[in-house]
Amino acid sequence: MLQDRCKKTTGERSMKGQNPDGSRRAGELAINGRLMAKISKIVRSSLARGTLEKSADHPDANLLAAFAEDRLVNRERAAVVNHLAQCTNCREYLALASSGAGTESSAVAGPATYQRVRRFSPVWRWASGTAVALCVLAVVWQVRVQLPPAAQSQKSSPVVPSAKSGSPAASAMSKNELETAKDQALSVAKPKPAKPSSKPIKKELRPAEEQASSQVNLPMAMKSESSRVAPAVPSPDLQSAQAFSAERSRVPMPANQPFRVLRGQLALRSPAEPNALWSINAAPGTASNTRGMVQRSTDGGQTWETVHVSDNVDFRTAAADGLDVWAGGTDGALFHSLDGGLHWGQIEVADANTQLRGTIVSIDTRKSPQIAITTNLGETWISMDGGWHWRRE
Amino acid sequence: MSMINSRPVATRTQAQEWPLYFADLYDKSKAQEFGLSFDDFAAILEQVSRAYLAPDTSQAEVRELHASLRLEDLALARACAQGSEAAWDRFLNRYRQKLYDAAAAIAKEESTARELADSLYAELFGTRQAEDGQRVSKLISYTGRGSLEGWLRTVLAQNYVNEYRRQRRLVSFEEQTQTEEQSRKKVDTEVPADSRLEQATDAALLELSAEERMILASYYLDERTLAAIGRMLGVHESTISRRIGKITARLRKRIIRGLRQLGMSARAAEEAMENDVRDLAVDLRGRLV
Repeated sequence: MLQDRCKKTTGERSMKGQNPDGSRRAGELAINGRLMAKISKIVRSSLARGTLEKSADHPDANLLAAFAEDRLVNRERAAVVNHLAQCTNCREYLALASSGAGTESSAVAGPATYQRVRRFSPVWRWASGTAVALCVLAVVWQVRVQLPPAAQSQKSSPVVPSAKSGSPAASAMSKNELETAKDQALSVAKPKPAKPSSKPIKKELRPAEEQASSQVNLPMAMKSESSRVAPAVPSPDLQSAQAFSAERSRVPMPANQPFRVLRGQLALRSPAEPNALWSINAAPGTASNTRGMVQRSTDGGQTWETVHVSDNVDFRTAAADGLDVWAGGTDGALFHSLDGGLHWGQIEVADANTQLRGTIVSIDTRKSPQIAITTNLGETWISMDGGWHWRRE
Repeated sequence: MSMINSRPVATRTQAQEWPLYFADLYDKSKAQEFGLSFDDFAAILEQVSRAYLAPDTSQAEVRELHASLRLEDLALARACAQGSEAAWDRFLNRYRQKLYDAAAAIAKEESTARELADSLYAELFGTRQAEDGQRVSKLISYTGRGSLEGWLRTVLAQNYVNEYRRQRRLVSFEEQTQTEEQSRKKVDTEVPADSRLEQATDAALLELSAEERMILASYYLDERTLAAIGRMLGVHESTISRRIGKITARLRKRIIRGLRQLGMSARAAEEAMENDVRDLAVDLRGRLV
């Protein structure tokens, strides 16, 4: 019975050229007719000859399904494509299987080498290009807004006149005035290092955190007069959870047992600040909160803003080394940001046999890239390579 | 997660020495929920890597392959194959409707689709028996390279095509004779092509990448729509349309270049192509009527 019905339905399809949507195909032929007609006949016969030479070694359903979901390595994909170019049967399997496809493909990502980069359609290419251009404009605009008026006026009318200008104003300026003007211009251009606040930071420290916080958080935050430039602020549309992984991938991964980013997260949308102070519940009125929140200050501790890292973690400590920011809390949760808190990724602290389970109460980054973590259970975990590998002391 | 430290290590000491990361994969797969032991699961991983990698493959590559597998799907499928009731409950809850939907999309006809899906279910439960009398489920051949849903769709497609092909061999002698006569007439009306044109075309096609040849074959030989080819390759149909345009234009140039290299003048090469086009135009109209 099934065979009869198969014959009937596929027979009808074969009359229309194995195409369930014959009218659509006819429309495509009419549109592309001129180009197709130029080579169609000879190409068809030549392709048919090639098809006859098909190999008998067909990819199984596993490989075809993985091919449709872009989960093959390049070598395997090349072999499957080469076979599909020759084998009518397998092309038909793939086409029929694709016709019933939902949204399953690539729902769970494998390692990078097992995923080909999807080729973007032109619509996406244009959209992404426009988005990048908008980002650049937004950054330029934001930098201009953040510069003090004096700097902007100096920028628009150069303070340091060119020696070749020969203008009366330039010639009238003495050498000392010239040096002073240069210094002023440079001081505006350089990022200001954070100054320690004269006001005491209002913060109720938990007993276990007290020592770590005094040793780690503030010195780490303030020691970094890094020359690194804050990264461009992506537009909200472009901020994605994958950004952390992309950023992290710049750090070379050592062989053997890579660290695992459990998930990437979004955080604040203000620009990254290499000299920011980082702490937990340091803002006035938040010290008694039941849940520890990661906060940062860009004005030396006078004001604090809460940075959203995770809703499920009670944070107990944070530490920073320039734009590298770490935050730890309950249930072994350790978060890392490589861009001053713009994006966060959760890192699993584990060695081959065990996993950190306690509450992280201190993070020491003073010997960066060596990172040391202590827990409320007295455990110490150390990574010698910026968080890629961990060992329990 | 709390089981990480106890279970896999204890099991590992009982039998074979497995790589340490297998314990992590075992946890991710949730195989224990279906009663699949760590050793069983590790043996499955070994079997999968043996199926796809050469014996001298580096440990890093093996590990990467294992990490790329759809572990939950793999554990579920193999537990079903072992007869776990919990696994079958999960499988039916998750895939029963999807299987019927996929069959409907493939067969385009409700009763055929239902029959197709039912016959696959029978295979999944196990219609053939091993030497020891145990039923062998088709799920034993799932290796986790793609999703279980994608694998089921592909198996459905294979069953559908194979059933149709088996039936086609049983077409009556009269029908077959009529078809052969029609095709013979068609061949008789075709103008024999210049052998140099065939030679140049073969050479030009060989210069294309495999993917380009696959697109051309899908479009010209299988006569699939742009959308269908796009779905096969995971790209939009407009991309396929543009690619076909570029490929055919490039192919034409290469064929003419090849013809000139075979001693044909530029004008004769163009004429050879034009003659072929005129023949094709007639052929094409005949196909579209």
